[in-house]
Amino acid sequence: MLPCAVGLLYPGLIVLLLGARRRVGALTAFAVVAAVAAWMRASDLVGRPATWLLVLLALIGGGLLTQSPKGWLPALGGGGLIGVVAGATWMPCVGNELASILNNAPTRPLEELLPMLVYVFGVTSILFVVALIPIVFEPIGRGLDHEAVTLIGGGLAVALVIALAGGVYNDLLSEFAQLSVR
Amino acid sequence: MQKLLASVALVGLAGAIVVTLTRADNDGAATAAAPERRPTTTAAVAASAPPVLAAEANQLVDLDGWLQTDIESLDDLRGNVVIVQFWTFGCINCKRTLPYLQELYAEHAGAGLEIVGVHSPEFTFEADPAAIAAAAEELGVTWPIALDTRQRNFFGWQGSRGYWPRTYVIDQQGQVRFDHVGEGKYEELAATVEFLLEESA
Repeated sequence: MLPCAVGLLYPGLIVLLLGARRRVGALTAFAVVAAVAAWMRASDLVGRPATWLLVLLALIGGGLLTQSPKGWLPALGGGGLIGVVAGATWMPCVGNELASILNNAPTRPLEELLPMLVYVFGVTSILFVVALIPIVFEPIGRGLDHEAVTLIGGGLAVALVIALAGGVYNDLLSEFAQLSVR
Repeated sequence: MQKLLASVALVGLAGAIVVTLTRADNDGAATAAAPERRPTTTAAVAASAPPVLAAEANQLVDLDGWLQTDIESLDDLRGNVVIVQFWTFGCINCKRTLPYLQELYAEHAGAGLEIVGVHSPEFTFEADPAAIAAAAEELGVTWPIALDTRQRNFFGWQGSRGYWPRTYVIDQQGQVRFDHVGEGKYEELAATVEFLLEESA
């Protein structure tokens, strides 16, 4: 499952790492918006967004996320914008559950919105687990608040923007996909 | 209070992940060795004609080559019922469809059924033709493989709704009669193929 989910997990990881103490809220915004974006594509309500638009959204989203410690608005906004990028670029392998959603979405879009939300929350649940652990176990929380975590998240966000702009986003995901199957 | 809620959510999520992963493992194991899940295609003949979904199927254009065949385009197969499947060898969901295609191919290959697997790699490590050929041998893919390494046909056929696998059936006149995203609908696929073959017999 991991290689096919990397298109959601990589941007989600950025939100997790940059979301600071508001990481659960930022991730929730990310997952909801990613699901809606993926659902809109599946329902033929929108096409593939232009690359420049995705780059812009990733740039603003990443920038907002770095301001997460200052308030909820940048955390939720940043998570949401990265969610648009994830949902718009995610090209999944399709098993039985997702097949049901994707095959029905063009003719019965409203019926498939909730299942898509559930599916995306399921795929990204591992990120929510990591986001919730620091609330329960505070010492781990202090570790996640370390500057190095923010730097790694920032590095991944910069890589996302550069890869999108350079047309090599798929190559970037390939590297993570290979790591996940090793 | 926040800590309690987070604990409950954490336990719930962890449990859900374990259940999901366990189910996924079971599915994979079952699919690998489970012909009992495969439909008996002879019992699935469609009672009515499958609808015409497109009057003229797309062509395969700007390919990066072919494997396991001498054909150069879908036109070379005109007059046959052709299953066109977009797949990539690293995709578990694509692999799970293969036993069903193999069963259909074994049963109807001499009777007017052809299959073309359009290999559109999701990741760069799936783009090497030697790796594709090796994977095809390992997976028992014996039908022609069109190399769509640059995904021109993947997006040309599917538009923004680009997914793996996607399976089409094209009839003897070049019309699209079946279109399915992902796993599943194997009985309907078999019924469509058998109806079209019987219609022309």
